[in-house]
Amino acid sequence: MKIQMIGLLILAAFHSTEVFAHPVSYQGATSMMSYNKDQENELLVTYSIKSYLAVALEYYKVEKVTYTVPRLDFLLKRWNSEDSQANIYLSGGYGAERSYEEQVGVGFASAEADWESRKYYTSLQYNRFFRKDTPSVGRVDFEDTKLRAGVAPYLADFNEINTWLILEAEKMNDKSVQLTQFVRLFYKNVLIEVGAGFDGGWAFNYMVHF
Amino acid sequence: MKAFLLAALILTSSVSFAAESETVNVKGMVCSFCAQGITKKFKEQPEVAEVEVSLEKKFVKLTYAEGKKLSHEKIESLLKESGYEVSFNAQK
Repeated sequence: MKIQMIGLLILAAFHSTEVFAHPVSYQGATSMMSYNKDQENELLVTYSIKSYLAVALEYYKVEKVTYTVPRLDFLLKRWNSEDSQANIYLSGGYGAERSYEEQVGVGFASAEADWESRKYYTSLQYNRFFRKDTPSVGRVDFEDTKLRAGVAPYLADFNEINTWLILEAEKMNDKSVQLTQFVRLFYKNVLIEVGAGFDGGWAFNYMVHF
Repeated sequence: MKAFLLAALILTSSVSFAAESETVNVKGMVCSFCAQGITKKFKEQPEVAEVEVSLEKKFVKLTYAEGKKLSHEKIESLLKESGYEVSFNAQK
Protein backbone atom coordinates (compact mmCIF):
# COMPACT_ATOMS: atom_id res chain seq x y z
CA MET A 1 0.00 0.00 0.00
CA LYS A 2 2.84 2.37 0.93
CA ILE A 3 4.63 1.64 -2.35
CA GLN A 4 1.39 2.17 -4.30
CA MET A 5 0.89 5.55 -2.59
CA ILE A 6 4.46 6.63 -3.40
CA GLY A 7 3.93 5.47 -6.98
CA LEU A 8 0.75 7.52 -7.28
CA LEU A 9 2.44 10.60 -5.86
CA ILE A 10 5.36 10.29 -8.29
CA LEU A 11 2.94 9.77 -11.16
CA ALA A 12 1.04 12.87 -10.10
CA ALA A 13 4.27 14.85 -9.98
CA PHE A 14 5.04 14.21 -13.61
CA HIS A 15 1.52 14.73 -14.89
CA SER A 16 0.62 18.00 -13.22
CA THR A 17 1.97 21.54 -13.23
CA GLU A 18 4.51 23.84 -11.60
CA VAL A 19 3.70 26.77 -9.45
CA PHE A 20 6.59 26.15 -7.16
CA ALA A 21 9.60 28.34 -6.71
CA HIS A 22 11.65 28.46 -9.84
CA PRO A 23 15.28 28.44 -8.70
CA VAL A 24 16.15 30.03 -12.06
CA SER A 25 14.06 32.84 -13.52
CA TYR A 26 14.42 35.15 -16.51
CA GLN A 27 17.81 36.73 -17.21
CA GLY A 28 18.42 39.62 -14.83
CA ALA A 29 15.70 38.62 -12.37
CA THR A 30 16.12 38.70 -8.62
CA SER A 31 13.84 36.42 -6.62
CA MET A 32 13.25 36.10 -2.93
CA MET A 33 11.51 33.05 -1.52
CA SER A 34 10.73 32.16 2.05
CA TYR A 35 9.24 28.89 3.33
CA ASN A 36 8.19 28.57 6.93
CA LYS A 37 6.73 25.85 9.12
CA ASP A 38 6.72 25.14 12.88
CA GLN A 39 10.33 23.93 13.03
CA GLU A 40 11.54 25.01 9.62
CA ASN A 41 12.51 28.36 8.09
CA GLU A 42 14.06 28.86 4.70
CA LEU A 43 15.10 32.01 2.88
CA LEU A 44 16.43 31.80 -0.65
CA VAL A 45 17.58 34.80 -2.67
CA THR A 46 18.50 34.15 -6.29
CA TYR A 47 19.84 36.25 -9.15
CA SER A 48 19.49 34.79 -12.62
CA ILE A 49 22.55 35.70 -14.69
CA LYS A 50 21.13 33.72 -17.60
CA SER A 51 17.73 32.19 -18.23
CA TYR A 52 19.34 28.84 -17.34
CA LEU A 53 21.76 29.82 -14.53
CA ALA A 54 21.35 31.61 -11.21
CA VAL A 55 23.56 32.42 -8.26
CA ALA A 56 21.82 32.14 -4.92
CA LEU A 57 22.20 32.34 -1.18
CA GLU A 58 20.24 29.98 0.98
CA TYR A 59 19.55 30.19 4.68
CA TYR A 60 17.81 27.16 6.10
CA LYS A 61 16.96 26.45 9.72
CA VAL A 62 15.48 23.17 10.78
CA GLU A 63 14.95 22.65 14.49
CA LYS A 64 18.29 23.67 16.10
CA VAL A 65 20.47 23.41 13.01
CA THR A 66 21.12 26.27 10.56
CA TYR A 67 22.67 26.09 7.12
CA THR A 68 23.95 29.11 5.20
CA VAL A 69 24.91 28.08 1.70
CA PRO A 70 25.91 30.05 -1.40
CA ARG A 71 24.74 27.94 -4.34
CA LEU A 72 24.39 27.73 -8.10
CA ASP A 73 21.06 26.81 -9.68
CA PHE A 74 20.97 25.36 -13.16
CA LEU A 75 18.02 24.83 -15.48
CA LEU A 76 18.95 21.49 -17.01
CA LYS A 77 15.98 21.24 -19.35
CA ARG A 78 12.78 23.13 -20.10
CA TRP A 79 9.89 22.00 -22.24
CA ASN A 80 7.65 24.83 -23.43
CA SER A 81 4.41 23.79 -25.05
CA GLU A 82 1.26 25.69 -26.00
CA ASP A 83 -0.52 25.01 -22.71
CA SER A 84 2.13 23.90 -20.27
CA GLN A 85 5.73 24.09 -19.16
CA ALA A 86 8.01 21.48 -17.59
CA ASN A 87 11.44 21.94 -16.06
CA ILE A 88 14.32 20.05 -14.51
CA TYR A 89 16.64 21.99 -12.21
CA LEU A 90 19.88 21.04 -10.48
CA SER A 91 21.50 23.00 -7.67
CA GLY A 92 24.71 22.68 -5.70
CA GLY A 93 26.72 24.65 -3.21
CA TYR A 94 28.98 24.70 -0.22
CA GLY A 95 28.57 26.72 2.96
CA ALA A 96 28.40 26.63 6.72
CA GLU A 97 26.38 24.67 9.22
CA ARG A 98 25.78 25.85 12.75
CA SER A 99 24.83 23.11 15.18
CA TYR A 100 25.77 21.80 18.63
CA GLU A 101 27.48 25.16 19.28
CA GLU A 102 29.91 24.47 16.46
CA GLN A 103 30.35 25.79 12.95
CA VAL A 104 31.36 23.30 10.28
CA GLY A 105 31.36 23.15 6.48
CA VAL A 106 28.40 21.63 4.68
CA GLY A 107 27.77 20.63 1.06
CA PHE A 108 24.41 20.99 -0.66
CA ALA A 109 22.80 19.34 -3.67
CA SER A 110 19.26 19.53 -4.99
CA ALA A 111 17.24 18.22 -7.91
CA GLU A 112 13.78 19.41 -8.88
CA ALA A 113 11.31 18.52 -11.58
CA ASP A 114 8.05 20.32 -12.21
CA TRP A 115 5.20 20.59 -14.66
CA GLU A 116 2.49 23.20 -14.79
CA SER A 117 -0.36 24.41 -16.86
CA ARG A 118 -2.76 27.19 -15.97
CA LYS A 119 -4.99 24.64 -14.27
CA TYR A 120 -2.70 22.01 -12.72
CA TYR A 121 0.68 21.93 -11.09
CA THR A 122 3.09 19.38 -9.66
CA SER A 123 6.66 19.41 -8.50
CA LEU A 124 9.07 16.97 -6.96
CA GLN A 125 12.12 18.27 -5.11
CA TYR A 126 14.96 16.48 -3.37
CA ASN A 127 17.48 18.34 -1.20
CA ARG A 128 20.47 16.92 0.59
CA PHE A 129 22.90 18.58 2.96
CA PHE A 130 26.21 16.71 3.17
CA ARG A 131 27.21 17.19 6.78
CA LYS A 132 30.59 16.73 8.44
CA ASP A 133 31.45 14.96 11.65
CA THR A 134 33.65 16.59 14.22
CA PRO A 135 35.56 14.82 17.01
CA SER A 136 32.76 15.64 19.43
CA VAL A 137 29.66 15.20 17.21
CA GLY A 138 28.60 12.75 14.52
CA ARG A 139 26.25 14.30 11.95
CA VAL A 140 23.93 12.38 9.66
CA ASP A 141 23.27 13.93 6.22
CA PHE A 142 20.00 15.85 6.11
CA GLU A 143 17.59 14.83 3.35
CA ASP A 144 14.35 16.54 2.46
CA THR A 145 11.92 15.42 -0.24
CA LYS A 146 8.89 17.47 -1.21
CA LEU A 147 6.11 16.47 -3.54
CA ARG A 148 3.43 18.98 -4.46
CA ALA A 149 0.29 18.85 -6.52
CA GLY A 150 -2.07 21.75 -7.08
CA VAL A 151 -5.17 22.81 -8.93
CA ALA A 152 -6.49 26.26 -9.82
CA PRO A 153 -10.23 26.44 -9.07
CA TYR A 154 -10.62 29.11 -11.78
CA LEU A 155 -8.41 30.40 -14.57
CA ALA A 156 -7.11 33.89 -13.94
CA ASP A 157 -5.21 36.15 -16.28
CA PHE A 158 -2.06 38.20 -15.67
CA ASN A 159 -3.83 41.16 -14.08
CA GLU A 160 -6.07 39.09 -11.84
CA ILE A 161 -5.50 37.28 -8.56
CA ASN A 162 -4.61 33.65 -9.22
CA THR A 163 -5.71 31.13 -6.61
CA TRP A 164 -4.35 27.62 -6.17
CA LEU A 165 -5.21 24.77 -3.83
CA ILE A 166 -2.09 22.72 -3.15
CA LEU A 167 -1.27 19.53 -1.29
CA GLU A 168 2.32 19.00 -0.17
CA ALA A 169 3.93 15.84 1.15
CA GLU A 170 7.30 16.36 2.83
CA LYS A 171 9.66 13.69 4.10
CA MET A 172 12.67 14.70 6.19
CA ASN A 173 15.24 12.00 7.01
CA ASP A 174 13.60 9.24 9.05
CA LYS A 175 10.60 11.31 10.14
CA SER A 176 7.16 10.36 8.93
CA VAL A 177 5.64 12.07 5.88
CA GLN A 178 4.15 15.45 6.73
CA LEU A 179 1.08 16.47 4.72
CA THR A 180 0.22 20.15 4.38
CA GLN A 181 -2.61 21.80 2.48
CA PHE A 182 -2.05 25.28 1.09
CA VAL A 183 -4.06 28.11 -0.37
CA ARG A 184 -1.88 30.08 -2.75
CA LEU A 185 -2.64 33.61 -3.87
CA PHE A 186 -0.63 34.88 -6.78
CA TYR A 187 -0.73 38.40 -8.23
CA LYS A 188 1.75 39.53 -10.86
CA ASN A 189 5.17 39.17 -9.19
CA VAL A 190 4.04 38.36 -5.65
CA LEU A 191 2.94 35.03 -4.30
CA ILE A 192 1.89 33.97 -0.82
CA GLU A 193 0.88 30.57 0.52
CA VAL A 194 -0.89 29.92 3.77
CA GLY A 195 -0.93 26.32 4.89
CA ALA A 196 -2.22 23.99 7.58
CA GLY A 197 -0.66 20.65 8.33
CA PHE A 198 -2.75 17.55 8.83
CA ASP A 199 -0.92 17.26 12.17
CA GLY A 200 -2.12 20.73 13.24
CA GLY A 201 1.00 22.65 12.25
CA TRP A 202 1.05 25.86 10.25
CA ALA A 203 2.93 27.00 7.17
CA PHE A 204 3.53 30.32 5.43
CA ASN A 205 5.44 30.85 2.23
CA TYR A 206 6.25 34.03 0.38
CA MET A 207 7.81 34.66 -2.98
CA VAL A 208 8.55 37.77 -5.02
CA HIS A 209 10.36 38.35 -8.31
CA PHE A 210 11.95 41.70 -9.19
CA MET B 1 -12.42 77.10 -43.02
CA LYS B 2 -9.62 77.39 -40.47
CA ALA B 3 -11.41 74.98 -38.19
CA PHE B 4 -11.90 72.55 -41.05
CA LEU B 5 -8.21 72.67 -41.97
CA LEU B 6 -7.20 72.20 -38.34
CA ALA B 7 -9.51 69.19 -37.98
CA ALA B 8 -8.17 67.71 -41.21
CA LEU B 9 -4.60 68.25 -39.99
CA ILE B 10 -5.28 66.58 -36.63
CA LEU B 11 -7.02 63.69 -38.36
CA THR B 12 -4.23 63.08 -40.84
CA SER B 13 -1.63 63.49 -38.09
CA SER B 14 -3.28 60.88 -35.92
CA VAL B 15 -3.44 58.49 -38.86
CA SER B 16 0.15 58.97 -39.88
CA PHE B 17 1.37 58.62 -36.26
CA ALA B 18 -0.79 55.59 -35.41
CA ALA B 19 1.40 53.27 -33.40
CA GLU B 20 2.25 49.99 -35.03
CA SER B 21 1.61 46.89 -32.98
CA GLU B 22 2.52 43.25 -33.27
CA THR B 23 1.13 40.20 -31.54
CA VAL B 24 3.22 37.10 -30.99
CA ASN B 25 2.27 33.75 -29.54
CA VAL B 26 4.41 32.52 -26.65
CA LYS B 27 4.89 28.89 -25.74
CA GLY B 28 5.12 27.94 -22.07
CA MET B 29 3.69 31.20 -20.70
CA VAL B 30 1.38 29.69 -18.10
CA CYS B 31 1.74 31.79 -14.95
CA SER B 32 1.93 35.38 -13.76
CA PHE B 33 5.66 35.10 -13.04
CA CYS B 34 6.21 34.12 -16.67
CA ALA B 35 4.13 37.04 -17.89
CA GLN B 36 5.80 39.47 -15.51
CA GLY B 37 9.28 38.51 -16.73
CA ILE B 38 8.28 38.85 -20.36
CA THR B 39 6.60 42.21 -19.75
CA LYS B 40 9.68 43.52 -17.96
CA LYS B 41 12.02 42.40 -20.75
CA PHE B 42 10.03 44.12 -23.48
CA LYS B 43 9.40 47.29 -21.49
CA GLU B 44 13.18 47.74 -21.23
CA GLN B 45 13.34 48.10 -25.03
CA PRO B 46 13.20 51.73 -26.30
CA GLU B 47 11.33 50.53 -29.40
CA VAL B 48 8.41 49.31 -27.28
CA ALA B 49 5.82 51.73 -25.95
CA GLU B 50 3.34 49.26 -24.46
CA VAL B 51 3.19 45.58 -23.62
CA GLU B 52 -0.01 43.64 -23.20
CA VAL B 53 0.01 40.02 -22.07
CA SER B 54 -2.78 37.47 -22.16
CA LEU B 55 -2.25 34.17 -20.37
CA GLU B 56 -5.59 32.95 -21.66
CA LYS B 57 -4.82 33.65 -25.33
CA LYS B 58 -1.09 32.97 -24.85
CA PHE B 59 0.05 36.11 -26.62
CA VAL B 60 2.16 39.18 -26.06
CA LYS B 61 1.04 42.31 -27.87
CA LEU B 62 3.75 44.88 -28.50
CA THR B 63 2.82 48.45 -29.34
CA TYR B 64 5.83 50.21 -30.80
CA ALA B 65 7.10 53.72 -30.29
CA GLU B 66 6.61 56.00 -33.28
CA GLY B 67 8.64 54.85 -36.26
CA LYS B 68 10.25 51.98 -34.39
CA LYS B 69 9.94 48.23 -34.43
CA LEU B 70 11.70 45.15 -33.11
CA SER B 71 12.94 42.53 -35.54
CA HIS B 72 11.64 38.99 -35.20
CA GLU B 73 15.17 37.89 -34.30
CA LYS B 74 15.25 40.40 -31.43
CA ILE B 75 11.81 39.32 -30.18
CA GLU B 76 12.89 35.70 -30.31
CA SER B 77 16.10 36.54 -28.45
CA LEU B 78 14.28 38.50 -25.71
CA LEU B 79 11.80 35.68 -25.19
CA LYS B 80 14.64 33.16 -25.06
CA GLU B 81 16.35 35.27 -22.35
CA SER B 82 13.06 35.08 -20.47
CA GLY B 83 13.01 31.30 -20.94
CA TYR B 84 10.23 31.00 -23.52
CA GLU B 85 9.65 30.27 -27.18
CA VAL B 86 7.80 32.30 -29.75
CA SER B 87 5.75 31.68 -32.85
CA PHE B 88 4.94 34.51 -35.25
CA ASN B 89 1.69 33.24 -36.68
CA ALA B 90 -0.45 35.47 -34.46
CA GLN B 91 -2.62 38.24 -35.84
CA LYS B 92 -0.96 41.58 -36.54
